[in-house]
Amino acid sequence: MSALGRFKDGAAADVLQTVLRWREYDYRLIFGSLTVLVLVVFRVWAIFLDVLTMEVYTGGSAGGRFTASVARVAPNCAQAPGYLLGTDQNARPLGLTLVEATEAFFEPALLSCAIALVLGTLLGAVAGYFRGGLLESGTKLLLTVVASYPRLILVIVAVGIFVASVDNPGGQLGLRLAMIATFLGLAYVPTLAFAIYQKVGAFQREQFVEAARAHGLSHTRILGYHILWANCLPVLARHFFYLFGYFILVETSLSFLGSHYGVPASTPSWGNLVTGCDLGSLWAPAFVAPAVCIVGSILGLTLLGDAIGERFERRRG
Amino acid sequence: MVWLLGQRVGHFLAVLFLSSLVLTLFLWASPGSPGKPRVDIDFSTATVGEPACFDRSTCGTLASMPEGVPSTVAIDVGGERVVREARFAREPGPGFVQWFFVGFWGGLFQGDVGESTAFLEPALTVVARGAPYTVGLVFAALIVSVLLALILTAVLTWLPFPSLRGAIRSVLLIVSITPVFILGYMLQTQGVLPFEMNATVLAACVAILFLGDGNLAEILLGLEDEVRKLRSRDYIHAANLRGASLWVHMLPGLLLPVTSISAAKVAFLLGSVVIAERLFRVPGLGEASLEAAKEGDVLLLLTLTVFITGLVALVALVRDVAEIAIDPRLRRGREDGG
Repeated sequence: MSALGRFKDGAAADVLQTVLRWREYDYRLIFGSLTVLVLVVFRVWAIFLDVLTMEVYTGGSAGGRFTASVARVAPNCAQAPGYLLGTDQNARPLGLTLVEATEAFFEPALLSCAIALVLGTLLGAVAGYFRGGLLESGTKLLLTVVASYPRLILVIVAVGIFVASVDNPGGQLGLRLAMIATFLGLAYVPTLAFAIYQKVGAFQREQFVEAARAHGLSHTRILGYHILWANCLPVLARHFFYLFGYFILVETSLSFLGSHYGVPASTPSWGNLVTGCDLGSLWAPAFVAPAVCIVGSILGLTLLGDAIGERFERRRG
Repeated sequence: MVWLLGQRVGHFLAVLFLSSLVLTLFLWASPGSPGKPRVDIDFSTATVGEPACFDRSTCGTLASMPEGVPSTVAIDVGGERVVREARFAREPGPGFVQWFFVGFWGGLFQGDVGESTAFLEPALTVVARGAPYTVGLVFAALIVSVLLALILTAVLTWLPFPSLRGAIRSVLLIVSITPVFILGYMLQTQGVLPFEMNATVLAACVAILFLGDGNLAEILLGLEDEVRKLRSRDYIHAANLRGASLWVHMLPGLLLPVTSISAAKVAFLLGSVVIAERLFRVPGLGEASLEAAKEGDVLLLLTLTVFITGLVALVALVRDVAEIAIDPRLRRGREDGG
């Protein structure tokens, strides 16, 4: 089959057709897509944001104007003129800090998703395809063992051991975030693997798999292309968005707990911004803005995952 | 039946043992490993030929023992003499088999696994003190969420206005997806809760646990899905045509899904309870695990994790037993050789 023919009949064409059908009204897809767009824009913005040239409000002594100084002379947690949301606990503009804070979860969440998708797909597919043997029982037992650890507790244990064993844990933020991402990804593997296991098991009884076997195609070809690539992408897409949202939940929760578990207070994270100012008001932007970012992101990603999965499932009857 | 139950119990025990083994292997490989040499050598009583280490990879026997407090010490490591400052010399840590199988599991059966370095008391005492709070909170939150989800499912199924159903569902989803820490912080900020632990605080913990982190929404959506499936079954149609009460016919069919959904939520709630306990200073297992992680208390972390994974595996065992008891197809399958 030519490359064009493969495209027309393959999963890529399915994805394209589904994208085109998204014009039909579905609030979950619209809200979820907007959430993803905002997160990506925030992340790209944060990459190009030069913190050193960030404007800082100089207060009354300098005539209430903005300077390009890095001196922290603006009041903490206050509504300074010219700043839409005021300042955070470190006297930085809250709006920009919220953008910067995407650094705490964006790449680690992608790493977490990559780990979960690769391992989950591999284990689930192997256990689902080679049924009835030691491979299936062994894989299922391994997945059950991993699934018995509550995810948040597993991450706390891993981070706790890491923090207790290095001299300067605050200076190794990247490593700590990578550790959170790795362990959360590993803890999510059973959820994804069981979903793939069920899918692969169901597809094994389909006629197209029987036909592929009759044509003498290899197990790798049948499993990798005909089952996983052509039929399981929606499951993977759904779990990708779920896990991305779940990573935001875990990262912000850990950062909220304190610098021993998540991101240190000196580094912006939506989790530590929620309590950073502690103004005692639920209407203060310093609380509302990060809280809305957290809830909105998780909600958007969850809805998008649901909508994508449901749409593909409906199309396939 | 007996064979099935035995199989499930065996699976539970295997999961419990393997989960602790996997965690121990990780802890053992980490820089804060329990096998790491920790105790300084007492040079007043030390003799030549005693086992000694500079670090995990440099272990051997003391080769020289100068009088008094020596500034340097020599250790024979595999035939090679290594000399370093005396302050780096340590007594070797326990071996893996000794620590895990004899020390931990052996101690567990004898009721004493050792002392927690974070709390300076036996690790099992810390677990026994915190368990009633955590287990109580988790199961209270689970029961409340399941009951509330059942009521909401009934209301949403029979509510005549689809747009109103959609609106209620959306509001519930938004509220329920809010993280536990935000809900708890909102209660604290408003001064709703006092800072000392009492019944109000525990009730608030239960409330934020069943409401937050998507717990209620997930149970509700799962139940709605099951009710939708059940309503399309023939016997429900027949009951409907006869004018019989649908819930009477549907509730037994919902028993199995409710058990499965509840069992799946326990592990998740055990994670959320860590945040709730820290927020409201409840002295449960979550709070203990945070302290143990902060202090690098490997023994307490292992003991807590064994207890928590044991609880999750036990709930899964109860679910399996309930499935066998409720669903005759499972029993028949085995008897038919399936």
